[in-house]
Amino acid sequence: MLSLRDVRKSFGALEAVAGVSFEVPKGSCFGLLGPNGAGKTTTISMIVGCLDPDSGEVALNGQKVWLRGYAAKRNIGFVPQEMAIYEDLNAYDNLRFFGALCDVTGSSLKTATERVLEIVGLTDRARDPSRTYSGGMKRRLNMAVALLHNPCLLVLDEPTVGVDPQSRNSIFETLEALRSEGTTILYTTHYMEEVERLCDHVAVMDHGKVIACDSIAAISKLLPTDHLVLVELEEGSPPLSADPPVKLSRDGDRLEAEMSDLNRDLPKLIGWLQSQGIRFVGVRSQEASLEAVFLHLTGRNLRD
Amino acid sequence: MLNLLWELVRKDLRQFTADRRALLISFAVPIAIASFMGTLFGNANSDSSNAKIPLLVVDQDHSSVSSAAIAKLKGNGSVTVSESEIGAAESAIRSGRSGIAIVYPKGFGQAASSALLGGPGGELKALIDPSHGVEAQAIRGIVIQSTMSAITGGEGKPPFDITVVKETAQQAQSWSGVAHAFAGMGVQGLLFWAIESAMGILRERRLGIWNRLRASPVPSETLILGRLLSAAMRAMLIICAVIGFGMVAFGIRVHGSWPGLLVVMASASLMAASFGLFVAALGKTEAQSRGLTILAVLSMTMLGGAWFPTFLMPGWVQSISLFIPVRWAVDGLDGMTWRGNGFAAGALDAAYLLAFAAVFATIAFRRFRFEVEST
Repeated sequence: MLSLRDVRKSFGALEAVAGVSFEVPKGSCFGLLGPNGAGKTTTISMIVGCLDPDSGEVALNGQKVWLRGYAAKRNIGFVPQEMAIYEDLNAYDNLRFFGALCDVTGSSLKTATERVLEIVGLTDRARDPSRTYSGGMKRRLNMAVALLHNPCLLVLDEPTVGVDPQSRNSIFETLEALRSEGTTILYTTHYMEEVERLCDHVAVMDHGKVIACDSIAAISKLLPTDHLVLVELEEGSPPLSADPPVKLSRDGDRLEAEMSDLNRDLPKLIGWLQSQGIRFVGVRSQEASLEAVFLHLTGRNLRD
Repeated sequence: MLNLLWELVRKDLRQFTADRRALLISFAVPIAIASFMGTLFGNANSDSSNAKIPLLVVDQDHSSVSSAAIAKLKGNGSVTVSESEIGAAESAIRSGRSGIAIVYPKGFGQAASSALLGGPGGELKALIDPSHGVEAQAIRGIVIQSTMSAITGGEGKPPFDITVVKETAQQAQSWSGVAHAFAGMGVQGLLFWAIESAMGILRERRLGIWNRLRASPVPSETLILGRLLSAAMRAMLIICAVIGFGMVAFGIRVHGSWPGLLVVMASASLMAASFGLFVAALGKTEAQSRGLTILAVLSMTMLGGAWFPTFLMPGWVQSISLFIPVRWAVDGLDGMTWRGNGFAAGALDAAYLLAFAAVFATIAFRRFRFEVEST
């Protein structure tokens, strides 16, 4: 469906995208993850054809995507990170304008407009100036614009930033419905829970490179452990002196222990702590999450 | 292609009319300034060749010669004579209330008459405000003529006269300060509107709208061309409103060519629109660009004759103004209104304006940036 092969882009001395390659399968929801400055937005800009790569190639269904690749661009719907709508105009006029840019005119424009307004739940407010909309409504209009020409690839660059829970849910439901109809979705976000809910494939970017790319299940296996156990120690606990039975890291009065088998490793850890005379006030375990995988791969939190 | 261009233009026009306050300001500000300037220049509307120069006369001589000379001055159609005392005259000149005073000193009549018989001759004294040097030269000739005829006792009528012919395309047209004010302030209004248009483009770029437009299956050139055309149409509405208001409220008349006026206004609108695009193409942020552009527009309007006619300016400024588009826009509008020039003259001014528009637009098309660089 969508393929990127060794795509590179620099701005002066800064290499924003340094040889990115991945494939987005048809009908999938593909998450593109990475902290700020990882090169996600530049990669997205090249995928939607508003920025040409310095080298490498982006192709959609075999057609090259680039600035003047109009045939390929007709199959892409782009929801930018910014609220890229005309706030002086109402939803109807915004859709009419952006529809015309994608050759959707006349009666097909009317049908398409009614369809997308229904999808994003703005039919009742379609004639009101969009500056009177709430942040969530503007976000939904921002998405509606990208759906008007019924694209086979929908690219969303952090579409839920600053959105209230109700509108966020509405966006998720819309994306799930689109996916069930066969639309391929490329989604970037900072929020792991969004990726875990929506996406089946993920590429993790850092410093302009893809450092992992696979299904979510396969990516989760990259963490060498299945569970992370957090132990809250008593205030002022002494330093650890002997070798622990599991891999441990200490941050103040908090211990993080990696375990592949809770039933086997947790009693060992507790016994070892008691033998060291170290008292604890709480223990909790969590499964390996994408957040943990990201931390493991990059040494940074996703929102850094 | 045409449908797409129309949609690009239509969207901009809808945006233009959607913000009623901005819309009102776009039209009201140039009309208000032009009305103010027009009112100031209104007194200069009259036929300047009939204007009389005010002149104070101080008669310290009280001789038959001085009395006769003053009587002849009062009968001269070019001056308005008021008699005064020396102290009052000096005070009036110093304070700027009067520009010129002629003093007939005591004994002048006798000395002047004796000069006809070979005597030493008399001397008149002229007190002038330095800002009235040109009038003083004119007064000198009139006073010499009147006083000579009083001394000789003749009529003092010169053997010839000068007939003033107002040389405009339509005979007997006078300079119209009002028409010039509306032309100048209308063009200034266009350029200030062009700044707002440029700020709008920079704002849309900051909001990511131009990035989204670039992701659409439409050539970048078409997007920019659409913006240029819509901006030119909006500018045309503004200049039509300003000049139209001047016609209705101040009686400005088109003594030249109506088609010529339309061509000049359309060319000025296109020039302003491409100037706005030029600013947007070179500017990075709204805050950075606005101040610099306002300075540039004020300089262009001042040097280009929008505030005061270029013929009032020093020669070097007049030479510089030839390289400023405002000059050609104002000249074109002046030409079609009070000067009464024909279509060909308007078309020539329009050609210069289109050349400036082409330069601005070429740079804008080459340098236009759609996106704010980010990673």
